[in-house]
Amino acid sequence: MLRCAPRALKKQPIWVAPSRNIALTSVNRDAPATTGSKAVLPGHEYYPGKEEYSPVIGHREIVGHGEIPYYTDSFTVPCPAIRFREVDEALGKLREKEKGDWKLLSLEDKKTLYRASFNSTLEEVRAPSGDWKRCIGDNAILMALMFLGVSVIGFADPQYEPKTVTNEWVDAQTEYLIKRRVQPVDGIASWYDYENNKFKPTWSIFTTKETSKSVKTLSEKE
Amino acid sequence: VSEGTWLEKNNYAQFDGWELRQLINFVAADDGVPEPEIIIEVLKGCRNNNDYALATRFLEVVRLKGGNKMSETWPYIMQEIGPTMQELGISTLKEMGYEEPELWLENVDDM
Repeated sequence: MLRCAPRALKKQPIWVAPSRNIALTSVNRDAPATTGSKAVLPGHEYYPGKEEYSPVIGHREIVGHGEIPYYTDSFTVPCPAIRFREVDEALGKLREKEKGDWKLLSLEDKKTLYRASFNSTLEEVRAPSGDWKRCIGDNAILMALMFLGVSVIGFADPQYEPKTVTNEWVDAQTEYLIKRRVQPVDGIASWYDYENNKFKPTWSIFTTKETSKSVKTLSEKE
Repeated sequence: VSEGTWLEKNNYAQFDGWELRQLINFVAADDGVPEPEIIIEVLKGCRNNNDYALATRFLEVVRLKGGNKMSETWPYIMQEIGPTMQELGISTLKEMGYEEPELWLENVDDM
């Protein structure tokens, strides 16, 4: 028990550099200010592998602080620690042009420079995605399938019909209610003429073609 | 420049690329729009570091810090920093077309 305690208290690093020679190199802060691109210099051409490489980020340049550099697009962190795109020959040439006068850059050059460092503009981050249409559409399809299933399967199979809906049950029910004289003021007993043993004409509001036949038989019985 | 704030007139033009990005991240987190004098120095810092993309990103941040009052703050700031932008050769966001979204990119949460 006591031997385990020191191991638990020992601090473990969050990210461990791989044991091979591939590792993140440190930036020389004493050097003059540059963007960090080593792609194109006179006599030094670019080839894959020349730029700092790491299995985490690839051939992208590290431009900011951060122990584990990763790229994000957000308004709260507008400048992430790495650029977005990897270094190419064309981009190296653009960087040389960037060191000169910026008035000589064309609009396309400026846009490629921006997209090389950043994936999307902050306006694109704010733009709506339109996901609500997909949500409502999926739900509508599922509800339609549900209604279809209930209307086709629920009423087709007699197994799913409740027995209290059949005319036999309803007739027996009405016979019982009339004998017991329930709801004499506003209900069923008020619609039944006990002197003539018939339903009053207003009962026809609650009948359909199917029930009217059974109602006629009932009134003929009593 | 308003006195007493942490964002005062300073030698931001001699900052490294790393320090400039840290500064811009703090500006995005701060509650307020920076003064035009500070914006000019940051743009000069971008020029010294030969980084054009960072300048446009900073201008986007400054524009969006206005929030609901973007239509009042942004024209004032463009009025103040217009001459320096023409000197350095930085084109405005309207010329680049970045005041509105340009491309449609799929949201990571919807993949």
